[in-house]
Amino acid sequence: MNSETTTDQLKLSWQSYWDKARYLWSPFVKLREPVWCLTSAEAKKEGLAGSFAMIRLTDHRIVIDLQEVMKLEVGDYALQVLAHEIGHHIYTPANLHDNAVLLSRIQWGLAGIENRTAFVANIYSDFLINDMLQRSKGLDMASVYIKVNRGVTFSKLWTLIMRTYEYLWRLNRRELTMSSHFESQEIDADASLLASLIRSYSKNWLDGAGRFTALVYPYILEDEDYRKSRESLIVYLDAETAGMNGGIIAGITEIDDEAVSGNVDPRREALGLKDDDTKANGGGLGISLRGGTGPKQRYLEPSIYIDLLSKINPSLTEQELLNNYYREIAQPHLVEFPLEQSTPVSFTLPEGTDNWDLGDSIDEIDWLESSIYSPEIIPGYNTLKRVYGPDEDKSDKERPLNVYIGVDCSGSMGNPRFTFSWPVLAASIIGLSALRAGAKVMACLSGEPGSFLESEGYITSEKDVLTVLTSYLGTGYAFGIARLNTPFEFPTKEKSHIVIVTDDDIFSMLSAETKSPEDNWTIIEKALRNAGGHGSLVLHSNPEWHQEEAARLVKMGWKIYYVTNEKELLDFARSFSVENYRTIN
Amino acid sequence: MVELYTLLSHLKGCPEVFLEQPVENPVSINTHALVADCFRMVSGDFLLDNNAIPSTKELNDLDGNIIPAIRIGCWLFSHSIFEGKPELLPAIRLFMFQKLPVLAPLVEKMQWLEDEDRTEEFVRLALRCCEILTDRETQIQAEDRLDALDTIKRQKVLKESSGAFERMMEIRRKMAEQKAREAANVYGRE
Repeated sequence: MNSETTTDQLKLSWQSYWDKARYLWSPFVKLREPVWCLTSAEAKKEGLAGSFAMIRLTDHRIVIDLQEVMKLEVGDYALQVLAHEIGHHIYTPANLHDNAVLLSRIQWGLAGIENRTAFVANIYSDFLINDMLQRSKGLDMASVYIKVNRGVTFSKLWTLIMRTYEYLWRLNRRELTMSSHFESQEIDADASLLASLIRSYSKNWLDGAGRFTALVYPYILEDEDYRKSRESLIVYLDAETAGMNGGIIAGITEIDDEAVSGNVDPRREALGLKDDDTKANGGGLGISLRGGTGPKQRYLEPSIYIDLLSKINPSLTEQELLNNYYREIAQPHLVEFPLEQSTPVSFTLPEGTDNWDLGDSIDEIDWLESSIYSPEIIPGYNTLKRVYGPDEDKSDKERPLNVYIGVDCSGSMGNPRFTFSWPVLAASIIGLSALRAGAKVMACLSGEPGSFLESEGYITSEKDVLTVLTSYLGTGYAFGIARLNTPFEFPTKEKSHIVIVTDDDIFSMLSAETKSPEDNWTIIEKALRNAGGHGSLVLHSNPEWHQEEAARLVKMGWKIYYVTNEKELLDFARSFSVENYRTIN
Repeated sequence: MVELYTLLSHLKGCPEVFLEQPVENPVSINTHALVADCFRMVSGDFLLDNNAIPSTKELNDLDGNIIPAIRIGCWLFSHSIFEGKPELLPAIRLFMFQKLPVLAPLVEKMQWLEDEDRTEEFVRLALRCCEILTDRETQIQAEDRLDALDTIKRQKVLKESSGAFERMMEIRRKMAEQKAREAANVYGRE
């Protein structure tokens, strides 16, 4: 490449190396040609800033900033750069799931500085790929470093990395580190351990992530050290945002046993010391001091899960992540949902209109009625569907009961965003089971006196149901019994099961004065009657408290479940399924 | 000129029987016979005087864990480049009976053959004792490379810095506790 080369010419030159770079890994590698950005402005639009190349795991693309390539004078290293980027796609991190697991394992070891997780993961991946290319594929990766390193701002971590490459590739001292700046026996010792680690874990690279993290941890612990490290390595950060927009990765809610066992410091290992204390505490914040949480104590705390997934994919909202957290934990416990033996009907007589939800079939929309209702149609907001009434009896059929889930969201209930909540898990299991069976769910969050949040009637959207269930108000002291008047003030057409997730304070609410002529005891009794189904109170409480009031509820027909641990939760789920199913049939 | 990679490759080919402890396998090869053969081969004199060969007593004085390293050394020096060079005998004795006894307790015997760095350290240390340079390397480069691989030195540095590291781990532990406490406060807030 000479000084007269334009980015267009450079593009042609680099394109000619693409197939060779692919073949270097395997002739069977199927990967689209990189997005060639002729200017840095174009590259920025693609999400590339700081480096001259990057990868995206979401659409399996590589982005190359040719202007930056020229600026750094690495135009002659097309094969090395392209092979390196391909390595990120087929070696490490390779896919969104492994990327997520890698980040989670690294985060375990970065106590207090978890915001550096993606940075460490990128450096680790680069080591593995570059060493593979240099030593197994015969590419001269060292030359790229020599070229790019000119004018670099030295830092301790940068020196450690370059020294490690010198060890790995048997280069002479200062071939990559260039000067004696930051040279020390400590860095030499760490570099030696790092080099061994990179070689040892080149195949099972996920298992080496914890040890790698422990080795680089002291180099980025202080903010100033991290800032300088980042500054000196920014040009190499090509996979930091690889998981961006990649959706939610399943299976990360569970505590990763390998992350715990792999969270070992190679320095201590080299000295023959054991890391028992560190392991007991999880080494970092991935595991709380109490251990895991939820069923079998094998799940991360929700707040830690949200922190981790936010790093993997910053475009996800906290609510989406929280919904997924409880959804994943609930999945293994979904129950067979009670079915109602309904009177045979054929829905053929139009009876009017009802709101059309996003979860409903699109062909149910009544466009004429919707247009009359509002000239500007927003699906799910002001769209209507026609409702049909029964015409004639035909044959027996089974239909799942709809379910109303009321969740106490007062100050006495823990925020499910921060700490795992058994009652919310119980409600999620019932809600998801109902939706899976084809029933509709109405969810209501209430912390009264104060505020409440409820779905617009019975809905079929899993997302909306979970969003209500996992939200938090923190107002008042109990679930507002008056909320039951919304769906059950009058007898309902379709039978419904009522589940109220609350705690001991519900008894105070039941006896509290109301502004309406009806007291809360009357409302709760009427609601059960009008629902036509069955009522369950899921209490985060002690069965020995408020025995008299509880007996009164039982007499009305309410079933009371005390859920404070896994066994009780599973008992509740099982009883709910079996008892209701048998009762109905 | 000596090709380093040739010696590395040769060392990795060391027969497994060389690694067996005599107590593990009573009929395994006799270490003294092996050392004697090694010395005779290097000297190029099959009738080398017994006084020029380390005695059984010298071997018996060594810790049992060092014997496998001595045997691996015998395998290394069985390479043809050492053949017929009696001037190397004092250096080989130095390597086997002074250097290895210090180094061997710090390294698992299999690492000498399976860990690339340890293999290279073994070969380079032997070459330095023999004052042999590998091809295309200056003495400074060779010294620096061995320095980088030096297990004893690394252990020393790690021990010296372990105090600072323990302090860092203490900070880390406190940070973890602090964060857990903060989280607990959030949970308990009404």
